[in-house]
Amino acid sequence: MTTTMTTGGPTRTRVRWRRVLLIALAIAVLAEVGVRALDSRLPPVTGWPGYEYAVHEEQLAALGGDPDLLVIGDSSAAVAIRPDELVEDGVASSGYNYWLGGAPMRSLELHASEVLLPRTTPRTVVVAVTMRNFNEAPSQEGHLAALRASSAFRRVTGRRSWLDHVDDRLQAGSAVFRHREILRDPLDWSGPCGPRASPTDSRATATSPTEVAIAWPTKRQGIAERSGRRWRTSPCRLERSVRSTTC
Amino acid sequence: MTFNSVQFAIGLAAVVLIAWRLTHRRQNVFLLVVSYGFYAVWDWRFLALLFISSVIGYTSGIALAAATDERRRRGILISRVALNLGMLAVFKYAAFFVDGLSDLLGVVGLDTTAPTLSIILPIAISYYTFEEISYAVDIYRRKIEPCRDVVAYGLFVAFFPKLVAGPILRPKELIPQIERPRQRPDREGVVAALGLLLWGLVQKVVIADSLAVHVNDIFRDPSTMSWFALTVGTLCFAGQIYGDFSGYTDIARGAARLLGFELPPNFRQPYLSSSFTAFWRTWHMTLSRWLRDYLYVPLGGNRGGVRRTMVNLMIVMLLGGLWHGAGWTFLIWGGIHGAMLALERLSGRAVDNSDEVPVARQVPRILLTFGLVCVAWVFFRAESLDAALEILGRIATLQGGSNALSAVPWLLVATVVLLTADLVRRRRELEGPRSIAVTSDRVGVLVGVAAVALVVTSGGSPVPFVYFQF
Repeated sequence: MTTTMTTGGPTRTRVRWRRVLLIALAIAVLAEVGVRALDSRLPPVTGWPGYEYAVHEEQLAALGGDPDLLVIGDSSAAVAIRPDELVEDGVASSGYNYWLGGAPMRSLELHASEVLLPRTTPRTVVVAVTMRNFNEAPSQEGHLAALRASSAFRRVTGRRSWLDHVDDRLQAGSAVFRHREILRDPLDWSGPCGPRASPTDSRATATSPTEVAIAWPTKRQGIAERSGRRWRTSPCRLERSVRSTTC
Repeated sequence: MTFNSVQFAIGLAAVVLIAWRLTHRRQNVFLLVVSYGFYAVWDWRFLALLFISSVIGYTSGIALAAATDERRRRGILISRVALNLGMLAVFKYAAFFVDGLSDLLGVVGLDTTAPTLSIILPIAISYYTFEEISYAVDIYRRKIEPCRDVVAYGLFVAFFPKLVAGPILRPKELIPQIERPRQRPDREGVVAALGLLLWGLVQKVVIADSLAVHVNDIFRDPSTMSWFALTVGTLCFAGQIYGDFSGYTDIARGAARLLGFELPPNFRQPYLSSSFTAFWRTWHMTLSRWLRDYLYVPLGGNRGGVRRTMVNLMIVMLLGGLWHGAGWTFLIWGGIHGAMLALERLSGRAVDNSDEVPVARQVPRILLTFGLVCVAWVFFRAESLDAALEILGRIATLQGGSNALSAVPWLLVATVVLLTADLVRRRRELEGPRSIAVTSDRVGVLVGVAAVALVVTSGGSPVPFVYFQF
């Protein structure tokens, strides 16, 4: 199969399309083989728009999934409210701070009403907000859109479309599809805090929130950077912070 | 339904297959229905506005051509243009001007509480309004005959590949293509259209959307970012907006080609420009030519001496800035471009290299122009005027903070891809196809890499096209 191709203007070049497809296919196969070779070293796919969701989900599950007190807010909430102190004061028997860095009010409301509250029965919910949560800005729209579009959100809320099922099939069959979240931003999972544990290891040791928190040090560097000034000098310090939000 | 969604790909394939089974007249009716359906998916509430605007544009065009009395012709034109601009004023600028008036009264001591206007901006209004104005003005100037076919006129306004974010077409570019039977694209045409679609997707999904994640993070709270992060963020935004808008245009052109239409390009390697004059001949070309034909020239253009030309350039660019959005940041963005164009005109040193392959000695000028364009981008992207000033202040004073290093690899990837593509295209355009041959092996590698890159960058949250908001 030979034809000519125009690429803008009057240019004409003879291109053999069978060869083009063959080379393109070879590159795709090469990529698939390469990612499969790395398969066991890549972290698990979370489906959430940010890694903090995944860390929170694992920590919440490790706490039994249903704290007596639940804190909802952005990174200000992470800094301002320590559930362990509230528990010490006798406000609640257990508590968890489910803060989401940079989340606007509409994201917090959506996440709380559709993800958190339907599956937990906290006696007390603390909604920690500042004026910034109410800003109308493009990046905040993006935060909401990212949450809505994430496969994990659609899974939890039961809003999966036929495209999600197609995507599941593709992920099951192709390592490139399966790990695209990580391949898109590889710096988020390999960095200065040392070699990361394999997914199996992290799950096997996820018996307490502390151990879960240690499992993804460098991804939290990304969370830390995005959360702002508090952790910018020491990415690993976030580990301690995340640990302090659990009790 | 954005151009970078699976739904659009499936929908486009279905529309193309059905359209070519229909006669020319039915094709137009079908495409008009599809275009209205496409718009309804975005926001069905403003379908009536699109419809009414089209009906008024159609009838006023015929009335304008029929009128022989000059005063009556002028009256029809002014009322038509006023109606279009009035729509824009209400939907796009009302809140901005009410707030501005309230602030102004506050300055002179009159404390007023402005009524809060929460009007949603109808998508695409800025684009089809400009096209309808150019239609009315061109009939008034007797450059074109009015379109007598209501379906053809409706399709001129609403044709779905260009409806939401341009290119902003001249009536004589599209209406004849609608009125005459179109050629079904042959294999070469289909391949060229698919090439545009693929390259458009790469620019949008691989480049722009990947950069957008970092841009959003960096611009969200600039007070926590270092000068390095803010510089990287600004450069990322320069890449994002180019990839985003150029990608959109290529997808629009590819989709239109599959239906037998040819849409004009909107970009010609703008970041290779060695002056603002060259930049505006290669960036958003259909908007800049609209501003030139329907604003700059009627204002007097360069016919009134240097001072008058500078004033005209400033007016045009300020209004061009305001066209992008009702806000001080856009006004300042336009003002910077206007001032630079005026200065270049005043100095007489504007080097227009838009028809040259860049050579080494031009690099300092190109970098200087790009740097100044990036300064203007800060105002364009920042979430407020205060934020823009803070970003520039932190960069200028080398403030410390979070470094956002994760953006750097994507910035490098975007720079290499966009720069290489621009240099190759510029060279092929000017020196002919033999300057850089398209071989099967090269195309195969590009298609393979593009496909893998699209898979890797797909599946995240869909980032809307930047220019959809205008």
